[in-house]
Amino acid sequence: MSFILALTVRLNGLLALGLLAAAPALQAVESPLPRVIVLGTGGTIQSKGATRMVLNDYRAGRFEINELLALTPEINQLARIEAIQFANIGSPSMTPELWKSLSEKINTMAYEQPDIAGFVITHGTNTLEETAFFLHLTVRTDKPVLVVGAQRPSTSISADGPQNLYQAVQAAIDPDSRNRGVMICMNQQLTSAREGTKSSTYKVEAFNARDLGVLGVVDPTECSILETPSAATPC
Amino acid sequence: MHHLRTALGLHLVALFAGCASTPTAPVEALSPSAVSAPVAALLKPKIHIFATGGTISGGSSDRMKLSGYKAGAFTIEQMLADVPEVNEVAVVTHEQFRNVRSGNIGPSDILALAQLIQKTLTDQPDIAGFVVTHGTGTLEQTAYFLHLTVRTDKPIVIVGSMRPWSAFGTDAHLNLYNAVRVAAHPESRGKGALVVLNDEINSARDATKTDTLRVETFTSRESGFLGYADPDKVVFYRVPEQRHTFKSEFVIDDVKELPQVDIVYGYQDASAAPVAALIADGAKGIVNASGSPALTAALRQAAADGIKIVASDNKGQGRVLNNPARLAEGIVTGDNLRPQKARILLQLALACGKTTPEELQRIFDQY
Repeated sequence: MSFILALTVRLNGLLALGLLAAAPALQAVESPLPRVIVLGTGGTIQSKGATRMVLNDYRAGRFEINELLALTPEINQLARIEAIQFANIGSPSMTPELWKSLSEKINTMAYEQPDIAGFVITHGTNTLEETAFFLHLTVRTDKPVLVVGAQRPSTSISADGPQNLYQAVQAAIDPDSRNRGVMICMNQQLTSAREGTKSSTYKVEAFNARDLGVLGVVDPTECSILETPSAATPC
Repeated sequence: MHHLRTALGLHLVALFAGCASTPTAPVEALSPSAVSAPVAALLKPKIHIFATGGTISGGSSDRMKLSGYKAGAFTIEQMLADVPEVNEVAVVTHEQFRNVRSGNIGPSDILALAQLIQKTLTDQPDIAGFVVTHGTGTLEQTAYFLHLTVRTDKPIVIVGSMRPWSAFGTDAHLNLYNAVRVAAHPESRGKGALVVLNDEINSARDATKTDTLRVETFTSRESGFLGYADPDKVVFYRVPEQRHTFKSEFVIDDVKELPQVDIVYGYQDASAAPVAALIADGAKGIVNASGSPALTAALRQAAADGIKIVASDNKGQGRVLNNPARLAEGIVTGDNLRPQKARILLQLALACGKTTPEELQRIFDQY
């Protein structure tokens, strides 16, 4: 809704009024929501703490990917989500074999299903940048591929995971995210997979590309790209 | 085939004949220093420097003085004589546009500079790139104005320094050298105006002075650098996304002056008095850096009265989100531009006849 409102104020007065009046009718004949594939690999974002005050001990259990998505039903107003539990491990357990399978899965799906808008991958933050970089080098699509994690278990007070996941879907459906390589989406910031790195053990703003900055920001009503990586995307 | 017997000619023969011909004279390495001067000039790009003054041209009789020097103590000619190495990188020409502190650069100066660069582009198409020396205090404002108005894909590098030219351990000399290097580099093209200090390349849109004293003061905050002027090479990692230079809609060839736009700074219980005072003084637009209840009310009223208002922020980083409700009141949001840069963009938009809130919002979303 807010996107449509933001769009109309960019047009001149009369046309804007006309569109506003027609908006409900337009909604009825609009194409369905874009398709986003969410591949879960595990990590803190899919972890549970014993109580909501537990921020850094999350061995109490794991969220299955659909269970995690269910925490944020609003996500279904952004996109048609298809969730696949690829693995459910801590990221230090990630292996090159799993990288390869993940990359092949994305490539196959992107090739066979051109109507997919984008991909989101949940991952533990410890080695997130390694998987992200591997995908950045091997995934052969210009569709957005967002890798997302969390610094706090998704059961915690002020958990960052569900909001990060929501923002990753926002970024995945934005056509402006295409052809920018794999991006890490956390704390409302989009970081290039090439230079992105975890710069803090526990702060929510941990991921950045140090002095090369962020590629873009995911703000409440829109995704805003600030700059482009100048190296060509593998495509 | 006599004319092919210069070193350059032999190189051409090698190129076109697939290196099959036997040279009749020893073939020297094709470095600029190995060939004759006129030929060398053909191999190196021509870079033109406009000097405006600033700390980079500052001097004092005491080399230990890092502050308290006189800006504009040196001419660009004197400075270039201290860094002859620039001549290995480019064929350098120069002119002394101004020689003042950056605080003394104003709208008429930046307008004249942009028009002069545009004219120079037409008059001397063999120039490959430009360098502008400038005081760091307002460098980012001039840089952004050039980024928005000069129609070219040739590099325009704005450079300054935090220590004066004559100081012990000055950053000025290497900064000037790197500015010429970056301006001469083919990969610098098409990225808009660039701010280069401390070996770091910033887009003129995002570059901002973040510290009063440190040599690493210029950053692009959360946007990061575009690249580096490293010891081994100039290297780029990022391309700016927003419109600039040859993609800009702003044509200022016939603009005589920029309209008055001022800035009000917000803090707890900030008074609304500056708003009325600035309007009475002739301001056609106001940029606010955050607000207060009184300021917000005054700005709303000003917008209703036809003054152009752009909402910026005093945090130093982050966007001011689009706000359709405020736009309906005539208040435009300034994206992530610093107030002093939002002012430049608003001045320019108004000078080019863009006055409706919708047009202005589009401009602030795109530039």
